[in-house]
Amino acid sequence: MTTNFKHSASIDQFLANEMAPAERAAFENELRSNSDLARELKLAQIIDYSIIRDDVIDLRKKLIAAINAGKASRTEVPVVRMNTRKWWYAAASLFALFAVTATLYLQTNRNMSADSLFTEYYNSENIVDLTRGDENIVDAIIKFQQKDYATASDLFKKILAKDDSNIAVWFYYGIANIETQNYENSITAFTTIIKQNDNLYIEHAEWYLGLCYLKDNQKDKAMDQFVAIASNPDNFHRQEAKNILEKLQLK
Amino acid sequence: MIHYSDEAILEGLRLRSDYIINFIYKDFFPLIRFLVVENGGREEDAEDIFQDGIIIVYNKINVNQLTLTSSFKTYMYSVCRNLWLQKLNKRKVIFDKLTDVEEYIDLPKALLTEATVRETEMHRIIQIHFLSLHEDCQKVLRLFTKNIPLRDIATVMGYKTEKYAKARKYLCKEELKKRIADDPRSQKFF
Repeated sequence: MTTNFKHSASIDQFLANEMAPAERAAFENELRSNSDLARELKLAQIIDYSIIRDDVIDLRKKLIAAINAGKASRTEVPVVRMNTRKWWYAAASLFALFAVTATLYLQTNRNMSADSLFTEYYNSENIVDLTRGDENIVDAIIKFQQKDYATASDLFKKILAKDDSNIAVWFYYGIANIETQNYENSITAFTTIIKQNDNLYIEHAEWYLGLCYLKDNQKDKAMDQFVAIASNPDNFHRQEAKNILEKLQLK
Repeated sequence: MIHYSDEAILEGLRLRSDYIINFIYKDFFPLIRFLVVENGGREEDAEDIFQDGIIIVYNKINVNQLTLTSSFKTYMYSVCRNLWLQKLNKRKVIFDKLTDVEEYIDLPKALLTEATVRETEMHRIIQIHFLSLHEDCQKVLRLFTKNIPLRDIATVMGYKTEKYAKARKYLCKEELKKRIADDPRSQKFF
């Protein structure tokens, strides 16, 4: 195809309806006999049509990004990081609906306020995975992933109003409410999970419950919670609980 | 990797969720790559087929015309397989039997008509070049396609005059046309 576009100006005017009637008629007449003009017009129209849908452009952009990221990762030398604690957890939570990985694990700091301790130890970024194929849950999870925690929380609440037996939803609801600083709701959620006493989220719920108490200025309850976690040699958050207790006692 | 239910994938794709798009790419693209590369194509062909397949499925979801009668994986593979077969036919390459890596189903003929496939491919080429333009150019061109008054476009873009907005749009479109025209893949369309 030629890259010498001779009719761009008149095509622009034509497409923008900026031609006087006589001029437009002459242009349309010219189109019948001038194949270059017809071809250029077709290209201009198809371009407009191809870029008019914001959703498709957005999807295309994301597809290209995914493909480029995939290519880049295939050319990288893989690095295997071993962490026995993580592997233990991965095995133990094979059927888990959520995974809170150990990014919190090695954090250290000294003599801090309850707020800064909370900030140091709280991280929702690694809470992932999806649960039963309930469409409402999908909507809620997507809102959660988009960090629209207020909407996600409302959606989780509606799901729980219909069926309060889904522990995974309680967990997400708790985290969404931490993000929106509705700690009382979070405390209710994590307490429900702990009381249920037969699920894979108890350790995480105990940990987050402690953090919520801390954030809610209920220091004694927070300390009780962290002591319980720290005294359980099998608890996933044991070391973190020990660290946070040391800092709380230093205050 | 997280595994999503088919319902979650469809809903996530409808919402263009980053998570779902990345999941689809990581989970399904290797199948499409295998299919294409094992059957006479290159990695780039596989990327094109994958993109076209996703866009076709997305458009079906968007008009509520997609009801799965198989798993999403099988459906997606079947769409891409059909697209690749059409591409091979165009290239006049004949295989007695494709080497497959996944189950596939027969799709309704209306889903992948020659016109739909051609249009999808044409839009892909244009959109890829469009997205390669400077962001400012992308924005001004999109504003113009939405018939937003020139005065408003100038304001939104921070241009001092409407005349400059018009000139900028003209130059951006010329650049886009040039990039498309220089792409050998677009020769058959224009």
